[in-house]
Amino acid sequence: MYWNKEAETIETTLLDKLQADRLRSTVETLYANVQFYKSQMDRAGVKPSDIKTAADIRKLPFTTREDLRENFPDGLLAVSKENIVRLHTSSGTTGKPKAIYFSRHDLDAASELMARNLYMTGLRRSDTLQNMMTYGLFTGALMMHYGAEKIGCTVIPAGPGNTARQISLMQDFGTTAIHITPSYSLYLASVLQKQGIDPERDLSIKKAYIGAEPYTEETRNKIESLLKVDAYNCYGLSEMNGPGVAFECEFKNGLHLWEDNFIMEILDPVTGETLPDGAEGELVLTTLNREAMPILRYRTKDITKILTDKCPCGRTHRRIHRIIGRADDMFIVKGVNIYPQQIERVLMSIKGVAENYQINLENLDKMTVKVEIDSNMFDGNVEHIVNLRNEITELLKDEILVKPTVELLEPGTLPFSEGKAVRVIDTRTM
Amino acid sequence: MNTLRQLSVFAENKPGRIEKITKTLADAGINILAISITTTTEGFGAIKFIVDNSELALNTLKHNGFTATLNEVLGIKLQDRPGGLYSVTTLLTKNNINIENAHVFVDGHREKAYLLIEVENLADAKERLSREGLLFYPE
Repeated sequence: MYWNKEAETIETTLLDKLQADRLRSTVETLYANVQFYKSQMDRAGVKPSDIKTAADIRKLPFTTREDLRENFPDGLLAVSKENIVRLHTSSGTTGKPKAIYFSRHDLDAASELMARNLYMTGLRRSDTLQNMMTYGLFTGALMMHYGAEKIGCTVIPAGPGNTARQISLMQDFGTTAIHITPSYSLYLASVLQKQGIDPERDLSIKKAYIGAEPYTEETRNKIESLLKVDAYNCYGLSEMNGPGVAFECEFKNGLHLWEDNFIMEILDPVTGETLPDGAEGELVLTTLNREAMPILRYRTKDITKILTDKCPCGRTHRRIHRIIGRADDMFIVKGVNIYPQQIERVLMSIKGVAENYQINLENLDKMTVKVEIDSNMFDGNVEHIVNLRNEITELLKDEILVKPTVELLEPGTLPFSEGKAVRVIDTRTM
Repeated sequence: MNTLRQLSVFAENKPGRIEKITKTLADAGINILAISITTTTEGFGAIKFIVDNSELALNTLKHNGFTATLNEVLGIKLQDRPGGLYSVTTLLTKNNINIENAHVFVDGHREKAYLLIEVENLADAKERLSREGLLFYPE
């Protein structure tokens, strides 16, 4: 059941020591080879010799997205160019690109982690993984690809889009697992339904690896029941190798974050203060096993919390809660902080609501939530639709404390996405 | 039971929706015998049709991405004279039958008109109204 039992079930005291050793060596390398980190550390008055334990990480300066952009294209390289075997860029959802470099060692380490992740969910040599993420500058598809190949399963590098072709690939080659975004998986489910294809009867998919966008437990449940799969949540970001930083095991109770490769911290996103385990805040990650471009205390902007209870799977690496929101995605209506995920959570729990929705922000006090109705709920009685709209409005108000305007739309009206979905349309001018 | 199958289509209140729906029905060679539109202040409504082939119409609309359904309605024959509708509504009131939606349908030969009603308990309404001597479509 373990890909690498020794690493996955490492004793906490050994893990602490490993983290301290790897952190020290990372800091030494960066101080010696990367001007940006040397000057940041000098400014903070910290020397490599000040780092003795993993807890000393708090003495180190942060790295932000802006730092990555300012040092674009190669200011954060810790090795010479001849040691680089791969370049990826990340546009994130907004802004200029960030360049991420990998040495041979780094690609191997990233594939190894991905193999751990996939094996942990039960993926084996006999499986066929259809990889429906974008291949290219984005890390998402390639890292998954390498991890699956490392296990020895068959990989179909389908990429996203062309849903009809995706479905024939699944039928022709007996795909047993897919790697896909949450929004595209919901769209795929609607196409299957429209074409009268029953995933349980007509397809062989058993597992879905869902990532690249934050989504809620309600959405996972919906994907699982529509596609008849076990859906696993995966977390990662290009700056930290790509997908596979943290992954769910068979218990699906949070994502094991591989602490032999990363040090995680949770901070108050505003004050930068370290928060205790269990408290909700911004996830901050430090690479421990990277050669070409190690990064110290990277501000991910992802909001989560560390779960400390032991996982029945026996892995000792602590888990994070599924991403609760992105510090960047938060918006304010009538003075209330709202994450789009809160709205999604409510919508996906209501019967009669289809997969697609959109949040429109017109001014500081008005928010309109556009929701497609599920065509099966329409029985010809308009009163039932009015009731549904009232129910959605009330449940949203309970969750976000602001009463939105809810518009019900015909299914298929909103633009669907084969990549990262755009859920919030903000037309306010500040 | 001689009831009629009515086709209901969910539609947002925006220009061109009825045009699209009726074009889809026309392209499939479906003849529309009656139409009624229900709107709400919430920006959507339902368009209801009586057509010559309700199964084909339903499948065609669904295949073209519309949200549609079939439901049963009662077609009560109307007398073609002043007070014809009044005599029926009197009986509805007398029998305490509450109408959710209603419209009028004239049959193919333009000879007979029917009041189409949607009620909560169709069978019960029909039984009571037949006791009053009313006739239903198809006769």
